[in-house]
Amino acid sequence: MSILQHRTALIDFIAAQSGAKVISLEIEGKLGGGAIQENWALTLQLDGGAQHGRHQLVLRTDAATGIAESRSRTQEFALIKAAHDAGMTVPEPLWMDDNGKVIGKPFTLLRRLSGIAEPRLVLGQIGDLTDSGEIEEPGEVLVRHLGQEIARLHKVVPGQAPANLGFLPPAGSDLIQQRVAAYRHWLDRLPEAQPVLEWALNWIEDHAPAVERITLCHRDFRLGNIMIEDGGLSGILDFEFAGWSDPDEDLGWFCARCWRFGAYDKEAGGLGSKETFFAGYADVSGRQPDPQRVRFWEIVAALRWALIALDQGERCFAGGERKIELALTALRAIECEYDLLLETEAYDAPPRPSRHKAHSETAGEA
Amino acid sequence: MLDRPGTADLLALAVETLQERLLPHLKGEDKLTALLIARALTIAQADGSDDHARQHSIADIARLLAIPPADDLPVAKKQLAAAIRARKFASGTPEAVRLRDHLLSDTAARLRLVNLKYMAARQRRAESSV
Repeated sequence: MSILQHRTALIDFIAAQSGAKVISLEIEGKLGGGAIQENWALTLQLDGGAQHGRHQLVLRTDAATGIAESRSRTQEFALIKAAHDAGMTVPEPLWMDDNGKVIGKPFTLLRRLSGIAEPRLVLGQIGDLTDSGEIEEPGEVLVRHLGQEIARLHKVVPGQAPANLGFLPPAGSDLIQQRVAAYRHWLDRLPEAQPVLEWALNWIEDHAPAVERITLCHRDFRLGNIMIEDGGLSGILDFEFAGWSDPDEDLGWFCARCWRFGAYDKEAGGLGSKETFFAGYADVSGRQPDPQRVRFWEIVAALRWALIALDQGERCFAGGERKIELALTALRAIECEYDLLLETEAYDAPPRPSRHKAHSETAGEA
Repeated sequence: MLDRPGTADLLALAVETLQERLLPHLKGEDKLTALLIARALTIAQADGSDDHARQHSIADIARLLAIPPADDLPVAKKQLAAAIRARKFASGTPEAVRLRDHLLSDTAARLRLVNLKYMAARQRRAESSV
C-alpha cells in the first residue's frame, strides 16, 4: 500500500491534531529497514499552533504481514511516550490515528531523527572514527551511553507506570516459566519441529534464575534499532516488542552473539565491552548488572531470535509476503541453534579474563 | 528424474550465470537482491547434494529414540522434538549426552550448508567472557 493516495486525508488529520494550517506536506518515500512496519519519511510545514514551523517526520504503520509478538502502532505510541517521559532519547511522539480511517490502517507520526541505523554502516562509522583518532575509543563511549539510556527506561516500573500502559500483560516472579510456555506454544505454530529449540527451552526452564525485579523493557534493544550520527546516539527506535520484563533481558539481548553483527569480540552489541556497557547502566540505575544473569538472558535471546527468524520465513512461505530476504532470514535460526548448544555448555564454565577494562572517559549520570 | 542436465547442473549453471553475467552490471538494491538470489541458489545446491546427511540424521534419531527409522526427516525431527519436550532424556544420563552430541553434529552440518563463515568465526572463539 502507498500512503501517497491518502495525502489529502493526512493533511486534514494533521491540521486537526496540531491546531495549525498545513502549508505543505511532502511524502518523501518509504524508509529502509522495518521488516514488520512500514516507515514513510514526511516533511511538514505548519502555520500557527504550538508546532508552528517545519518538521521532519516519520509515519509508521503496519507492513502487509507482521509477527505474533509485535504490538499495535497505537500501543507502540504509548510505549514511546513513556520512554520519552522517562528521559530516554527517542523520537518525539506527536500524533496517532488508531481507527484506520485516514490511510486505511492505524499509524503514528513521530519526529524523524537524523543519522543511520543500519548495523554494518554504524560499525563502519565507529571504525572510521577509531582510525581517525577523532574520538578515543568511540565504541566504548557509545556503549556506556547506551547503558545509561536503557537504564532510564528501566526506571519505569509497574506500580508507577502511566495508565495508558494498561494494555501490557503483567509480569511477575513466574516470568521465565511463562516465557517458556509461550515459546513452546510458538514452536507448536511452526510447520516443522525444532529439536534444538525444544532442548534449549528445557535448559532455560532448568537454569532460570529468580526474577528479582520487573521494569519496562524495550525487548529489541540492539544495533538496527539505534540511530547513530557521527558516532553518537541520535535516538532509540522501535518499541514494538516493549513490555514488562526482567531488565536483564534487555542487557542480554543487546549483548547476545546474534546481535554483534560479525564483531564478535565486542560483546556489547558489536560496539564495545560489556564492562563499559554495564558501567553506563550502573551510572543511572545504581545497580551493577550480574554478568551470569545477563549470560542467561543472552541464551534466551538466541532462542527468541531463532523463533522470530523462523516466523520471518513463514511470512514468506505462508503469509503471502514473497521476499527472498525473509526466506533467508529463516536460515539465521540455525546460527542461533549452534550458539544455544555452545553457550549453554559454556554457561557453567568459569569466566575467562576479559581483555577490556571499563571505559572511564565518559561522564556518567550519577 | 532429470539426468543431464540434472538439478545440480542447472543450479550450478544458474549461479555461474548470475555471478558472471548479471552481477557485474547491477548496482544498489538490484545488486543486493541478486546477491541474495545467488546465496539462495548456492544453499539449495549444497543441500541438494547432501542426501547422505539427511539419511544419517534419520538413522541417528531412530537410534536415539530406539524406534524404526522414520520415512522422512521432518517426521523424525517431530518424533525427537516430542521426546525432548516429554523429558525422555534425563539430565546427566548417557542418553542426554548422546542427544546433545546428535543435536550439535546435526546443527553443525546444517550451518556448514548455510553459513560456513559463521561457524568458522564461532570456532575461533574470539570473544572473551565477562
